[in-house]
Amino acid sequence: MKRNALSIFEKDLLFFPIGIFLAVTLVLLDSLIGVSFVRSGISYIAEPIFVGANSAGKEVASSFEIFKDFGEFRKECDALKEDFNAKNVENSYFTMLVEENESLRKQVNLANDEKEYLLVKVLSTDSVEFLRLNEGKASGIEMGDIAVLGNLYLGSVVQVDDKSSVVRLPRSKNNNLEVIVVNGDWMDVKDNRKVPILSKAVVSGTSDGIRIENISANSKVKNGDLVVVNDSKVGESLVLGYIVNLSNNPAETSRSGVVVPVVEYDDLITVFIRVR
Amino acid sequence: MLLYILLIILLFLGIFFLESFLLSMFGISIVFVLCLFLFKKVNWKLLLLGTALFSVFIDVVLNIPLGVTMLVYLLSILIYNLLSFSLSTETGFYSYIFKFVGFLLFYIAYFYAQNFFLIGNGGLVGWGQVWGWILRAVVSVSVAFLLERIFVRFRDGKSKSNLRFK
Repeated sequence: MKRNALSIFEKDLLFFPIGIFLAVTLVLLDSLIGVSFVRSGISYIAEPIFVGANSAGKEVASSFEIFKDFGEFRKECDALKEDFNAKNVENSYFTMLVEENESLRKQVNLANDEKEYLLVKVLSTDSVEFLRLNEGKASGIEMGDIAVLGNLYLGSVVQVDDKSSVVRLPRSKNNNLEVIVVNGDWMDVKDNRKVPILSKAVVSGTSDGIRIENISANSKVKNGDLVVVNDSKVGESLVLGYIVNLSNNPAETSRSGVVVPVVEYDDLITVFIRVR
Repeated sequence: MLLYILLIILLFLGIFFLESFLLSMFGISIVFVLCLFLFKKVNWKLLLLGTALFSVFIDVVLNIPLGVTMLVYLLSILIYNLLSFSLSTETGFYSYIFKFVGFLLFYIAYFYAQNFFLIGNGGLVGWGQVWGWILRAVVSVSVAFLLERIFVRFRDGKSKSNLRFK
């Protein structure tokens, strides 16, 4: 009998009935009577371990979430790229409108009221020396017409066909112009106010930019003075730029320097051609 | 003797930490994997004691009635054991199929038991939840497979299904 009893208790199958009985007893005890003293005792040890492990596990799980959502991120990124490109296009259009508005404002405020001007767009600034424009003979442009922006001199038309034209810039090689150096603001030039002429000079385009030469050695020309085009080919006084790097050699009979244009030729989009 | 007891306590706390970590990270229960792995390999009294202690600790931290986790463990192992009447659950390819079934039943039962005792109903089940159970069961089978490979050196010379700790 005893041996049989022992052998029964050695069987693995007793695991289930005893275990289930124990589990059901615990459930009933906890649900009906409550064993809060056991819970509080165990939670004193178990809670700190559980909280630490739980937060660590959640941190790791959240980093794996990134891989799970990778497909969504990719779609979102593509959608954002499309949106960005669309907005870029819109922005470019508005930028051009703003630029045209600024050019028109300058033209209205600074240009000669008695002359007639044609609004044209620059097609390309690939060349350092020339600007290609989007209007030609059909719009009334002729060889020798002057390109301006307000009272700024930009160049003269050297090629023209039916639909487009080419303007030679002052920095174009072997482009020579007669100029005067004045001490004043470019608004004074526009209003034809009497501004003191410091010297006459000649500007020419070189590979280094616009060079100004033949400035009188006795003149009071200094860096920062305004250079105004005063050439018969141009027909009116138009601002070219400011003098920089003025030479200061007392042995020279004349002085020279570099002219920095008022506007950046490479940034031009809207210009005006004086047609009459 | 004292060192032995200390080691057991540390091992217990270590496994409890791992259980909490894996439960929150992937929802995988390493304790059940160990139970299934050690079933019929160690003395059933030791296994029952360990299972009871772990399940009580887990019930306390998850705020569910004591004994629920143990009940789920035991029922899942019982169903797994019933499958052994058809084919061997110890070795071979089918043993892993049965283990997969055992783990899957455990995760399903655990989900429903928790929901029943915490919110009073079975909760919402979608395809995401189902795929989650299947994935967890697959990972648990992989862990069980690894455990078998690691502990193969501890196999008792006389009975290959028992573990020898000496």
